[in-house]
Amino acid sequence: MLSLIGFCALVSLLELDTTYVGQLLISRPLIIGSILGALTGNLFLGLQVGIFTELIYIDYLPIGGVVPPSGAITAAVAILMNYCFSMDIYFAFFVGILCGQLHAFLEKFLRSYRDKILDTIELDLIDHKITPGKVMFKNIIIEFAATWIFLFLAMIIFGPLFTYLHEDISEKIHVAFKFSYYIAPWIGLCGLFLSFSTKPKED
Amino acid sequence: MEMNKIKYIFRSLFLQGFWNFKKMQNIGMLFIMYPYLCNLYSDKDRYFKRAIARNLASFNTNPSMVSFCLGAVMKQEKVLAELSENMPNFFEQEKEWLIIRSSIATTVASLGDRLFWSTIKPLSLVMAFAVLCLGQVHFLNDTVALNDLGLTVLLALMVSFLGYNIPVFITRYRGLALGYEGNEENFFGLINFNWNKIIIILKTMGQGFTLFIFIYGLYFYFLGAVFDAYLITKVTLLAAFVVLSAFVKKWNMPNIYLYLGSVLVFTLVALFS
Repeated sequence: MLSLIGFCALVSLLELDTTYVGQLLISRPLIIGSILGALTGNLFLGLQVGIFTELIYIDYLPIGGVVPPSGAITAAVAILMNYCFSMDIYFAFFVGILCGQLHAFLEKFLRSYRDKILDTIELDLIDHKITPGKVMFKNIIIEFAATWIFLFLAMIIFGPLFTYLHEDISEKIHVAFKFSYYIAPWIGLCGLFLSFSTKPKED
Repeated sequence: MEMNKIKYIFRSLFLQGFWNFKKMQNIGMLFIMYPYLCNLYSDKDRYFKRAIARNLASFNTNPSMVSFCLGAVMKQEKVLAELSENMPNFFEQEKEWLIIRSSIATTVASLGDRLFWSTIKPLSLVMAFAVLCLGQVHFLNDTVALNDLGLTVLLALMVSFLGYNIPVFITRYRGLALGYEGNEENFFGLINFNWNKIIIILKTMGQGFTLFIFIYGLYFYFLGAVFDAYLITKVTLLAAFVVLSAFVKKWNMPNIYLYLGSVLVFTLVALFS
């Protein structure tokens, strides 16, 4: 449990890089996957999940108000589910993708919440009641805590649920998920090649 | 230009620290500008408050190229501060400030998204893939023992990290000076570069790397495979999904739907076969 808390904290900290601090891409799934893979003793699995996540999300761009699913959360959930609950990686990857999408909803909710408090904060800033640094710091802490809680809840809900259902999952379902998992990077590579197209898009 | 560039570049890393749908990066932009405004209006509180209110206007641009906007806005703030005793000119200049700020933000957003999000980010990824392929880490295969290949992985991660961040920090550093020293004629330093040419060269490089990984990956994926019904099924399904992926891309649908579709189809087939 302690290591799960620590892993969730590490991922939440790195996830801040996606939007709020830096955008140095230390939160890209390739890097988060490799770090978690190394920490959990299976570097190749971490690397592979990171790469598959990058490829499957390659066409999501954080432009304007678009909130893409979190690649960092997807990769982290997949690796941690495999490590903490012995979930097969092809199921864990699917759960990771679900959590990545759910995290985008959480992110939208937090951004909308900030819309509501924006006017008050602006007045306080103009009246020197608060500095922009304090506003940013508070917000980054809230964002970190929200991601940590989300990640921890996702782990303690989906992990035991899988353990409970595991016996009843037929071998055929295993094969279906396994095949989808190994097909994912090829789909992504094709998308990646096309994303490098220099032709202007048709309207 | 007398300012601590490193300080402003560091602060620019927090541009999106209070991202909101209403005014997007407005508080982040104020956070970067704050020490500069403090210096400009240290003894004029009324103008300082006005400057804060002005800088809280809606703002959205690409974070990797924000320094072009920052340089241009700082220059305009300096002009405004010098005009603060001449009210009619001040109001006129303030209107111009807003036009310059929003037009440069929009241009930089469009350029930065194309250059950094759509080109350099995926390019740094395929460069890392190329390192992994050359280092015999066949990440597309079902199982691989890494053994002593940890160094190759580390090198690939470094390539991906530096391949993205070196161009970002060069742009951040040079953009600040160019934006500050530039004017409307050279659009605050933006037209000093042939961005389209840079993007086309990088995208072509990206296509080359991807093609290499695709062919190399396929070779190792099927290396040593026995020609039987299982192999034919595998190849057919792979080819079908690659073709589907091209169509999905053409219809502007994310690849994730194809993956989820494959899970659904394979599960249904598995259940009813």
